[in-house]
Amino acid sequence: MRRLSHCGCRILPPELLQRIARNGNALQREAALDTLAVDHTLRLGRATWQLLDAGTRRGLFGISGAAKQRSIYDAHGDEALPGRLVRAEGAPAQADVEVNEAYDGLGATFDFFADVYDRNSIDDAGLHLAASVHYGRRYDNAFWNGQQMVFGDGDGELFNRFTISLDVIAHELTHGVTGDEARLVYLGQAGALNESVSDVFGSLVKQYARRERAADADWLIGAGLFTAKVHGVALRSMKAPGTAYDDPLLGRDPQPATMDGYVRTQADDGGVHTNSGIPNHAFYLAAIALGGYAWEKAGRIWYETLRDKRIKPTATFRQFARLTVQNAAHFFGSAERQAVAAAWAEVGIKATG
Amino acid sequence: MRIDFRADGGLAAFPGLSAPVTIHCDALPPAENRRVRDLVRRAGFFALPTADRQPPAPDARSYTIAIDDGQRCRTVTLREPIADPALRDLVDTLRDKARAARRAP
Repeated sequence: MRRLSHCGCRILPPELLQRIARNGNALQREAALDTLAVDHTLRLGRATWQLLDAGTRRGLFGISGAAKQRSIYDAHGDEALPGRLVRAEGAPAQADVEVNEAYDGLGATFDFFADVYDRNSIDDAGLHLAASVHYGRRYDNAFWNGQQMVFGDGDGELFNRFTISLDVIAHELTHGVTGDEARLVYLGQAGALNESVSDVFGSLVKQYARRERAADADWLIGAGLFTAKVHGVALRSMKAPGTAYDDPLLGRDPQPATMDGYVRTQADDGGVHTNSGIPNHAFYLAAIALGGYAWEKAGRIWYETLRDKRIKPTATFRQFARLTVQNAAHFFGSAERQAVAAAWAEVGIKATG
Repeated sequence: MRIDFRADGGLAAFPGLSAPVTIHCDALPPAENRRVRDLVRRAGFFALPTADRQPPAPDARSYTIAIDDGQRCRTVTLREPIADPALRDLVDTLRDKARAARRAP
């Protein structure tokens, strides 16, 4: 079969392809039909895939156990992604600390999801993990672009390199997990839940790497990211939202811990990094109440909620909370159900009845 | 030429970094004034769509830039990652100027 010579064809909407298939010349028709067939196969495959559990998915391909595949790229101060490949899976450590921190952070995150929740990478289908370091010039941020992680070097004044915190690396990768599972929209309460889920598993990856109990963890996100000039310990605190920093340049940590402090704003996609303090604190309270290692009970309940078919992309705090309570009862028992409901009640969210 | 610049979002929402910063180009040293005006011209700023249609990428920033050159006035919102190199140069420069303005007493 002939294909259109340019690969951009696949991003055409199906409606347009159907119109070309109906009205185009012979060559255009064939190419459009070819693309539609591939597209349809991919969509059908994707839909089927999502109906299967992790074990069945792996069984389909005869894969036993999860195998991590990492690629770290150097963007060399440019913003073109991904940059030059500098460390592939299994390659030895490099002289560049950011390359190694990214490599190790991706590995720790992969291992956490595989060991604890039997998840095979971000998409539970062995997705190759990619990250670019040295992105941009004095770039003081890190983000997930839907396909890969991106780390800046920091500005050197307020922020150190963004690979320095394992929980930040795990936070970014968890955006990929959420994008594959609940697909929470990045706006308003659903967006704040999306952010909170990334903080929850960001912190759990760090706790798991340290084999730390809930009561012994710092529950900070991004510790080490600030330079010594900043008055603050981290980007956020799940234990005490609103207390992570208070600095002349950065301002004061604006996160509320309860619904009384809920911030209504259009900035930051509707306050996604602000109001996430509320579900963050609920998770912390649940984890402390349930005791032991936070990933075993509280983490499992949140993970199963993220994967729950009943969760909508536009979920509110209350809808998410109710599902965590139901999953606590389903996967554990009435004591766990009560502990999770009490945690949500303490932040001002009624999750039962 | 007057430029209002605001950065929004990112891995955390810092109140101190999201406050808008105003840059009066005529108050800059002449060479710097020319450089900024040239960046605005090369980015084709006054012909840009006002809203970026990219869906938000988690933790990526967005930038709101309003420029008044005395004859034209336009406000544009951009989301990272910014593909166009000329536009990236403009945003990088404005980000540096915003940093310097915040440090000034």
